[in-house]
Order: sequence, then C-alpha cells, then structure tokens
Amino acid sequence: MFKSIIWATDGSAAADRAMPYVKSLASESGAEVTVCHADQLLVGRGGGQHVLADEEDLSAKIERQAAELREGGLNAKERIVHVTTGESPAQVIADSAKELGSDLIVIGTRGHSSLGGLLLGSTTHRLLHLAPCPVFVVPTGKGAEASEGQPATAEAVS
Amino acid sequence: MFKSIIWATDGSETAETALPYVRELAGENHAKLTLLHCDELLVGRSAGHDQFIGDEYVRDLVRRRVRELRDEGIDATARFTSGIGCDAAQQVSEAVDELGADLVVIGTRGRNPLGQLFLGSVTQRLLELGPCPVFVVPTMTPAGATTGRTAAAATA
Repeated sequence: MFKSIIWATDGSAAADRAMPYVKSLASESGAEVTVCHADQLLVGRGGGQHVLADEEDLSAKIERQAAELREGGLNAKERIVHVTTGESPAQVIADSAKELGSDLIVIGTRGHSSLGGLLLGSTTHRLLHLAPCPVFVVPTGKGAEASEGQPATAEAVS
Repeated sequence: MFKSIIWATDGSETAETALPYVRELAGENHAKLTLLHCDELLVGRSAGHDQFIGDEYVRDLVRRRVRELRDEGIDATARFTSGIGCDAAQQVSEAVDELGADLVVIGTRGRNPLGQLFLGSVTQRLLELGPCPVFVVPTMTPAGATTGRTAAAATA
C-alpha cells in the first residue's frame, strides 16, 4: 500500500524502535525506503560544527542500518542532509517527503519515560504539522515492549 | 504485522481522512478493527458546533462505517466510550490495553483555514501516552492512501 517510505531517524535508541516497523511495512508493500537523517550544524566564523558531538558515529550507524535493510532485500538508501541551525530537521524530512513523493514517514519518538519527564519529541511534533503524508509514530512507551518482535524496553537496558 | 487496529474517530471530516488507510491496513493485515469513539471531542470539531448535539449523529455515522467495512470483509466493531470531561487520549490508551491493540490510526489537523499550524490535542496527548504505534493522517494529506490518491487527482 506504500510506494516510498521515509524512515526519519536521529540515530537514537528511540529512533531505532521504528526499524522493525520500517522493515515490515516496506517489505509488505514492496516500497523503497529512504533512511533520512538531518545532520544539524552550528555554523560560525570558525566553520561548521555538528550540534551532536557523536554525529559521525550516528551517521555511520545510520549507514549501517540502511545497509542492513538492503541485506534484508529492501530497496533502501540513506539520505543525510546537512542543516544549519536555522532550519529544523522536521522541515528537512517534510521537504524530502515532498521531493521523493513519499507516501509514508516512519519515526520513532519518546513517549512518557519512566521518569515522566520526557514528552513528545519536538521534531515529531513539528513533523506532524509539516508532513505531506501520513506519519507512523513509534513511541518509546509501554506499547513498544508489548509489540511483537520488539526488543526488551530501552529503559530496562539503559 | 498488525492483529488488532483501533481507529480513533470523532466522525469529523478530519477523522474521516484516515478511512482509506484504515481500510487498507486492516484489510491487508486481516486485523480485527475497532472503531472507537469517545463522547468527548476526539480531534475537535470546528468551532461553532455544540459538542453534544451532534453525538447521536456521530454514533450513527460510526455504526454505518462499521457496516460498510464489514461488507468489505473487514472484522470491524464499534466501541463507544463516554464521560463528562473524559480524557479521550486516555480512553484510547485504555482501549489499546484492553483490546491488546497494536496500532491506532487517527486523523488529525494539519493547518486550519487561516494557515495556522495545528495539531489535535488528543493526537498529541496520545503520542505522549504512547500505548502503541500511532498512524497519524494529517488533514492536508491529499485525500488519503495510494488508492485514494489517484481518485483525488482525478477529481481535483
């Protein structure tokens, strides 16, 4: 039912929870997958710096995950977009969806943590406003552990 | 990949944008489908409507949708919850637990006619509660699923 799926990921554990769903949705639909990641840069006179200190690790991880999807027989490619601080990752993802004619965006997000402090991720929130297509949101909540084929809760591991 | 799907609907046009997706997701997965309507506003009807007057109409609409989906071979049932000042997101979340649902489909607002950004508060709260994955269909989605898209293009 989908032709082009974007997996929006920031390389975090919360984003990883979406991967099994990306696999299933894409293989059942025969859709192509674009693993979309916004690499946020702080640009100053001294040049650009990644906002996230472990950006290189994250990018490498995302490339590995795209490779894993390909090994699983999916038509997957990664798309790492560099954005400066003025642009939001959500806008980048929504623009990518428009450009690629995507019909689904899958994103993992934080729900209530056991600490009760973390709310809906801001990128997810913005994305729901900007997205040109449906958004499949995978929470890091109690639901994630209840789902079939999901690993044990991230909270339990971390 | 889904066994039990909940379509959270308030019978509004906004909620109805999810219908083509509900149909496909439930049909392709041979999933049990529950149309869930909470008496309090789910996504929020447009201003100017009394929030209680239309409710019997909404129930009828939901029942009609259930019949249509059943005619198409989908194992659909309606479920109504109500309560004054009830928290619709909480009710959806409780239904997920009770039914062992593995997906909630919900239509929500993209932009209002003034171009302001808007996200249904129930949708937002549901995502925060995060009982299971949520398939969010924004209103601005061009008339629905892949199947709906061609139809939309034809009518546009």
